[in-house]
Amino acid sequence: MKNWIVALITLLVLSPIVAQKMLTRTGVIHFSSETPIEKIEAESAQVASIFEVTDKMIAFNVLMKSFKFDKALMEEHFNEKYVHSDKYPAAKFKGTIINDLDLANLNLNEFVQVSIKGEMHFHGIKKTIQINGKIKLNDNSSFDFECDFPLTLSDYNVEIPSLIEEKIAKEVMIGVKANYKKS
Amino acid sequence: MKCLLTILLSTSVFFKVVAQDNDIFDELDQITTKSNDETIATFKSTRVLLGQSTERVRKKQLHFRVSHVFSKIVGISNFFGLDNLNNMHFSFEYGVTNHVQLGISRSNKPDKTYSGTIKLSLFRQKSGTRSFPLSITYNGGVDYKSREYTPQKRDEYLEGRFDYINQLLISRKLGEKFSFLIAPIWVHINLTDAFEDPNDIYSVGIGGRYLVSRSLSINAEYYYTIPSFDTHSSKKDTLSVGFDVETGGHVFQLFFTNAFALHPGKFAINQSGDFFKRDINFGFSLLRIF
Repeated sequence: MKNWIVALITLLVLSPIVAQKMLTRTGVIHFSSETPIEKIEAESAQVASIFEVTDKMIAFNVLMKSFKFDKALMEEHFNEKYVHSDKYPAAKFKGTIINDLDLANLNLNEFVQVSIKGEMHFHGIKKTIQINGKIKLNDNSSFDFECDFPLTLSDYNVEIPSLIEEKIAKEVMIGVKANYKKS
Repeated sequence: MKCLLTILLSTSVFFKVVAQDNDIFDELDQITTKSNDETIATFKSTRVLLGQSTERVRKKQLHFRVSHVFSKIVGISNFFGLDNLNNMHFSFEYGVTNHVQLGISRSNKPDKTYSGTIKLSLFRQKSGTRSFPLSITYNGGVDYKSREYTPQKRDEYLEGRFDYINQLLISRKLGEKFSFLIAPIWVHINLTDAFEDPNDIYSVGIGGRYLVSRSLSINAEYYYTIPSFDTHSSKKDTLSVGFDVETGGHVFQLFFTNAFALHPGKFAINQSGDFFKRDINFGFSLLRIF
């Protein structure tokens, strides 16, 4: 009996170490706002992300100031007037893959569709969302993850002045790409 | 014993769950590449109103700026000054790098002045681990006065047409809305109009802005000229108050000022009117960013 308890405790203590943790610091998040008048795009290639294979947990962190725009002025307005980067420096997401899949034993080099349910933290607002994406186990045992999803700006209190309402889409498209390697 | 173990176990499970939630974001924070934490948008325009601000033209960008100042506001008889366009100044400024910008400009009055300018961003205000409290910029210029002079000897004396401007711009953004600037300037005049006038005039500009809404700010600017010449009157130091209005790629500035000159070689030593005796002109400028 006692041995059993000791074993259980050891397992509990050790389990986070055993859990297969994959990560990247160079994930890419791209977003675009498209209206008939103007297309605005930006990209950050400094996205940090952790993927815990056994827990099916996936989390992202991106600094707003790491988004690069074509025009420096747009970048400045984005940070100063829309997402208020000094106040809310990062966007974060943490979610769980809800599909019944054994992620550690996926078919090699084959994308599998996944749904992730989790919490988005952006511009001071927390919101539960579900994202559809795909995941692939590579030969070198790294994982590729990709997803696209729309984000409604008003859900996160990002205000668009009525003067330029026609230039900025109410819903921006977010694209995420990450390649996870063992930590 | 068993009970204790159960408690221990359940708490350890509980802590693990709780810890995980914050842990994962903490862990992410640690592996996130820190991005540029320079303070942005200290001012909306490269000028506070008449004088330069620490804002810059970024790499490969071109700024075109036109400013006008109308004549002294008398009343309805001259339609509050708008009947006469008193002066016009325009400039092209190009960002060679994010820290070096070159410009050319032309000012109509008083001397039909052409200027070549250079602006160097030496330090930028930063937050975070490598924080720095101020933005410090050097602004230099050479003015060529192209007007006709009399007598002819004066007109032919080329060196007498040049003025030199050296200015340090020091600014700090305090919170989201308020920014201020201190800008000492040294103007060297190769050949003065009056014999007893000094060749070197020093002045200290102070300016600030307060953001009223996200596209509108109230600005004020004052150049204190150090009294070093007989015609000096501190009542006539340049004082300007106005607004910045920003719309996408444009910044409009509307202002009231006692100056009529619009280039630093002149307004910094301006002796043209007493703001508080209603020697006030209305002016505006338009900045287009390409």
